[in-house]
Amino acid sequence: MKRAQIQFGESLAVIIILVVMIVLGIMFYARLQHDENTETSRTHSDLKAIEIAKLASSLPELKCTGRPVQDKTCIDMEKAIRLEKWIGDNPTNLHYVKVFGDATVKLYFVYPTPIPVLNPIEIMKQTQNTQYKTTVQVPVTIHDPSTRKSRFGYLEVSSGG
Amino acid sequence: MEIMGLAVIVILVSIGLFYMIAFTKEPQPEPVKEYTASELATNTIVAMLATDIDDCGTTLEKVIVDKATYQNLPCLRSDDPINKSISLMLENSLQKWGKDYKLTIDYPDTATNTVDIAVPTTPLCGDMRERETGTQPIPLYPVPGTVMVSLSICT
Repeated sequence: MKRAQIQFGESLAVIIILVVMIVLGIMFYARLQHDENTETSRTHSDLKAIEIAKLASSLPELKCTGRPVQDKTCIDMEKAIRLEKWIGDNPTNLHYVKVFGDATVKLYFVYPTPIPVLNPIEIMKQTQNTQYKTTVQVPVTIHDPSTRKSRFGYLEVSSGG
Repeated sequence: MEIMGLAVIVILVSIGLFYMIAFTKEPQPEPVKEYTASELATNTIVAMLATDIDDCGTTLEKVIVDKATYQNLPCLRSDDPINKSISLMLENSLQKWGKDYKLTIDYPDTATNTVDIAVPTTPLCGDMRERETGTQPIPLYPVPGTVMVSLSICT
């Protein structure tokens, strides 16, 4: 084989190796970027769900009135039923879309025996299907002002990123 | 041929570097885990204690106090409303969400009666750092002493 041919072969091999390296690099970078995006979406969805859960449990439209200040986990059952109906009748109300975002907020009864027609009270319903969904539960006391009894339940917030 | 050897070394070093970057990435904080750790145990106890117990007509907190002091509530004579209600509440919340937990009620020496918690607690994580405990003190006033209700949840 002539010297020029050998040199050409070597140059070609180096070019091929370089191309392979660049392709590998791009593949690794794309994979890392994808993982990072997934992580960011998940974190964003988590934070959003937590924020909504905290907000929902302290919303004046849901909170018990005339209870001790330390009773921060109390939800008024009548208010929750009224709010569910009101939001259902006014789905485009911007105030609650702003407050809850595109999340599903449900109030579940646990103890004593749940009331079947009321379990759960769906305060807000998510309209879009999202890839990542985070669900956060906040245990609460559900106070029924008509019977003056308190039940044990939880608020469940599902939010997508 | 020397250049081929050099190229192979460069490739190996590059692959090594890529793997190093991929595996030494700092783990991201998990907001839900952190939130759960800090709030769930306390919120659960506070909500449970404020719940009215079906057979007794008063809150779990008052039933616990009455059990430890005068035992005036008729429901305490025939049944075990404390264990029954706590079991139902925890089984349908924490257990349903796949959380391991342990609930304890510590009575002071001044308490005339105590309740052995027979709630089927799930096997608790061994490492204390992985547990979050919420505690709620209940004074037995006018009897001296305070009952401590604690709930540990694995994060």
